[in-house]
Amino acid sequence: MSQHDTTDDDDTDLWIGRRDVMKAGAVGAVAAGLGSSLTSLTPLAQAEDGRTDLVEHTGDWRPSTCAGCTSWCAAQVLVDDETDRVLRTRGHEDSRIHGTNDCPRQDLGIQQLYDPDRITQPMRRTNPEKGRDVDPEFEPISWEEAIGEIADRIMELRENGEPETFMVTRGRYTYLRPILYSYLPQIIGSPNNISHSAICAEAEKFGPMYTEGEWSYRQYDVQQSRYVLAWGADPISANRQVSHYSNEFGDLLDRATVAVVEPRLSSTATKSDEWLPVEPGHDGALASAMAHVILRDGLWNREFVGEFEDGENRFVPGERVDPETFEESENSRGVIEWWNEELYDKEPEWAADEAGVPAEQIERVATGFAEAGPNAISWLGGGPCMQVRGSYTAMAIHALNGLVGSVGNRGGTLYAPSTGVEDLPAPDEYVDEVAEAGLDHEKIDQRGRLEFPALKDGESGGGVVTNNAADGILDEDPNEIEVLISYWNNFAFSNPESQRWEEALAEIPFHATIETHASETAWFADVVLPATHHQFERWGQLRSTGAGYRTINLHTPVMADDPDDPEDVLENGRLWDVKTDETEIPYLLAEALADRGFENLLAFFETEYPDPESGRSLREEIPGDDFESRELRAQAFSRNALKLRTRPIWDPDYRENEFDWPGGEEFDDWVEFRERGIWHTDEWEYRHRWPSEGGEFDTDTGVFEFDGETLRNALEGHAERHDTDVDTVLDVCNYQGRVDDPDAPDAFVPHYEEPYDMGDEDDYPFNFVDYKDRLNREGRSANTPWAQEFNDVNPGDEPGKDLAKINPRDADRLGIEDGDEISIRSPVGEIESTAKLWEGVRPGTVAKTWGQGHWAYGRVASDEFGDEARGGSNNVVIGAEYDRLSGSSVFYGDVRVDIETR
Amino acid sequence: MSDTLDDRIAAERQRAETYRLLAALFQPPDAGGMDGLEATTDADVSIAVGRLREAVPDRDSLKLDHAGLFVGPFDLLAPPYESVYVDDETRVMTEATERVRTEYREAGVDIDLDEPADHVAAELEFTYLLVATEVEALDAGAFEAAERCLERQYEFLSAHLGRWISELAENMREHADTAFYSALADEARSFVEADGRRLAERLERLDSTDDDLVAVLEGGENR
Repeated sequence: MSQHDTTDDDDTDLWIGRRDVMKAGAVGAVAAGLGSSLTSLTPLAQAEDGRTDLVEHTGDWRPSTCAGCTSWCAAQVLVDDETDRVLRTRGHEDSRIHGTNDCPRQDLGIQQLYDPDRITQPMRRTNPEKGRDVDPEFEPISWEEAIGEIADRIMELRENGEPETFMVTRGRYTYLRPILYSYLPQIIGSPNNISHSAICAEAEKFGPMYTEGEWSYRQYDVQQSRYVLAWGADPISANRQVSHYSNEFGDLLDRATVAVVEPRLSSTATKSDEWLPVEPGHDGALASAMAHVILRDGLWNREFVGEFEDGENRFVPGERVDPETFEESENSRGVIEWWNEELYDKEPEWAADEAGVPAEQIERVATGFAEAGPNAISWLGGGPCMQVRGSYTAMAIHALNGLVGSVGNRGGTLYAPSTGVEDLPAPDEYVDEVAEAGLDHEKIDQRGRLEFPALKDGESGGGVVTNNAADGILDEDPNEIEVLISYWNNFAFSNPESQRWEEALAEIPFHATIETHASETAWFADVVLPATHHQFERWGQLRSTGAGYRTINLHTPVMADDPDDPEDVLENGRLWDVKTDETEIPYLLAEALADRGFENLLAFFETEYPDPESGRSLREEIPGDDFESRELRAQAFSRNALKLRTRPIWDPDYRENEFDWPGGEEFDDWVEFRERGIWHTDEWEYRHRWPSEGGEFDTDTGVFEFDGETLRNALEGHAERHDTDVDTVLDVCNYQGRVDDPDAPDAFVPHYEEPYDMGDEDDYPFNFVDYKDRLNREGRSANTPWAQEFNDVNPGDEPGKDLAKINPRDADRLGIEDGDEISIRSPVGEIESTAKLWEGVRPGTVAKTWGQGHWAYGRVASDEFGDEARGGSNNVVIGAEYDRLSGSSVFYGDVRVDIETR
Repeated sequence: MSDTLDDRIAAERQRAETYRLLAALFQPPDAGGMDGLEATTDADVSIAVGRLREAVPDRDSLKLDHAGLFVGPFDLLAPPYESVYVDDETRVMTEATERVRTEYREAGVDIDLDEPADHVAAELEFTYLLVATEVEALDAGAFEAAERCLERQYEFLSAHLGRWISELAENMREHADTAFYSALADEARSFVEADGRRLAERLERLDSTDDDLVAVLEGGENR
């Protein structure tokens, strides 16, 4: 095939002048006469005048949301008003966070939308054998058949009294997610809804959770900040609010100092004042040393932390402090305990040895950061904590914000103001006895077991251990999984040691996946269902957080002229025969289950999801039992779910009488809100959670904790559940912290733990540094040509190549030259790559951008679709290891590899 | 109506039916195209239906091969979209697609598949409609209108279908697992390209000689 046709269009000019001589509509009349014998075309009531100038586009900017990363920017999409074709996209002009600024991910969305490699209709596997080397031999089937097959399988499980063998896995979502992710398995009777969260950045939430009680990502007040200290965060490149931070970064550099702790020269590091090229896995040592410097030099924030009663600084290196001499602020507690248990001997020289960063740079950065306080940010990214023992590092890094008083303060670390969205109606009354019995079972990811505390929100087993679900499936522990619905994820590619997922998926007897592209995961599926593209083809809701606000952003089916009309959406809102995972598919499944005698899901939807404006139920709006009517109802259900979710925002009566309204913009009706597509909270009020201002932190003590009191309670709760003590928990989970052991770090205060390596240093002499591609749409952009052509936006990378960056000194020693084909081998796997000699990586490390190595996903993403990978997938060499306190998978820091030329 | 004219109309009808059959055969095998093939004789159309019929394998192989060539999900081996060949191999809904859709709508029809307008089946069926319109005009003795239909056919083939049918056919021949889709590739390509040449010759004669339409139609063989 040619990339660009060489046909000379001039030779058709001869005929263009003749166009008007054929009677308009003559063909249509003939077509009308032929009636239903046509198979591809349909007569129009009236012929239309064509546009003469195809270049000049006009249209409407229609609102939607980009879910290309978790910035979730509010978007506007330019839709051609004649053809309904999507032409351009941009940030939403009304957003007070980013305005029309966006990042390239939004534009890549259009390439995904119009990618010929998309899944265009439901497919069914015809080859019963499953495996990486086995062609699934998919055949197209109708939606009705596909939904029917899934319903049959679910009925079988329920009839056999084993609904717990049903499973749903989730990747990206919108806030309509409970319907498919929570309510569907709940009504069927399975506890097994497994999210992707623990391969995202859960460990990052551990830091703020066990210092200030927020299991949450932060927003950073860059517009008011004087110092930004970024830890493994690359905010102008990846996650979160990239549009806003990229837009502000130039001004930030004018007014503030920016320092980046990162083992490779990241995009943000290239534009910063300081780069601290930390040895992978040792960030915690730097954090402890910086806290040490801040206290030693008396640079802490008195208002937030407290002061010695007599004003004399007793934080002397190597000496412990009598707690009686210090008067804590009402805002925080435990700084003396932190010093005495961890910081007192963590001098910069010690950290320099541990982390490979010069002591004077540690001093300089710590001092600059503290002197700028409280308008200073210790910016925690996933890098330093999605590591073995990363939870404590997250605490140490976040606790620096407490020391300088930037928590919730001007120029510091903020959270999101409360939003005016409602919970979706829940199904408790529709859960029958069969389901209740199933729901009592343990989850397949084994969360909450002694070795997997996953302490989300202070609760033993409160979080997910995503990657361990593969082992649960393979070991049938706690039980077998017989039916899986996976959606908007690619676990066979995106989990560390992803080869385990290939095995696990091959074991599952029936697997339906809902995706836009035929992924590695789809290769193992029995039924592949084509998903709508979130940015252009469906209803949904996400939110953005930045500049002191949170916005509620709508996804709308932008190609339909009247998105409220289900018929218009199905007719014009999608190019191919695709449906929405979170709403339309569960609805159709509910109808199919009702056909088979299980009516609870359908009754739930029909009763609880009327149109809140008209009051009409789904069947009242669209009667009929044929499949087409069901498809229309499914689309109406999708719309209703979003209207119910956002009702306080657009329904004044509901807002005033039925909802605890937090403030923010107010709309008078649905269409007004839907056409704008974005809603703002009130602005974040600085310091409002400080007890000194009348507020409260969400910790167990109500104040900011330097002593880890909330963590103590959580760990003791977990230990108690297993009838053991905290030391046993930490021993089993492979942490160094202990309770009251003078030879070990204290188990509760933020502290440094030495990383343990995944692989022996003699056999695997390099640390592998993985990081995410700037053009990565959460793993979904590899088939877009622009992501490949422009991947040199990642420092060190080159267009169209998948490169392993090696320091020239190491390369020289190994005799590796630029461009050499190399293999990268770890204890768990081996990939092929091309060597790039680059000063931007530490000696002793190999850095490689995550995102390549697809052997499926499309003709651009792979070398040979379904067969040969393009480049190497980092997840093949990264072992399945965990930061067990948070449940997070380890991606960074401690993965050891060997490299050699091929 | 003279015998000659009747013969010419029959021959044009044969052209039309050929496009119609080809359009149906590019659709999924269970969409009726195979029944159409069964019911068609060599005399009805200008392609070798016997050869195609002989090449028809069992229904399952046919479905899988069709899916692999034209649907995916893993092996979209012969993308059935004009945009992929004339604008950008990684893109549907390009300017070319928009031009095709404009052609349809100006002519009074629109795409009725869950596919872009430049899907090969739709372009073949649109050409069929252009020829069928010509046949209707000839039936009514409206020769000027019929002449315009010829122009329109040539214009559509040269601007659209004729530009990419050979590359599509090459992909089909290279990747088809069944003899059927290889044969369909050959038949579709040779018919469409020959038809384009024939239309060009006819229009050239109408432009440059005093021959009338019936004489011109007589001039070209359909095979």
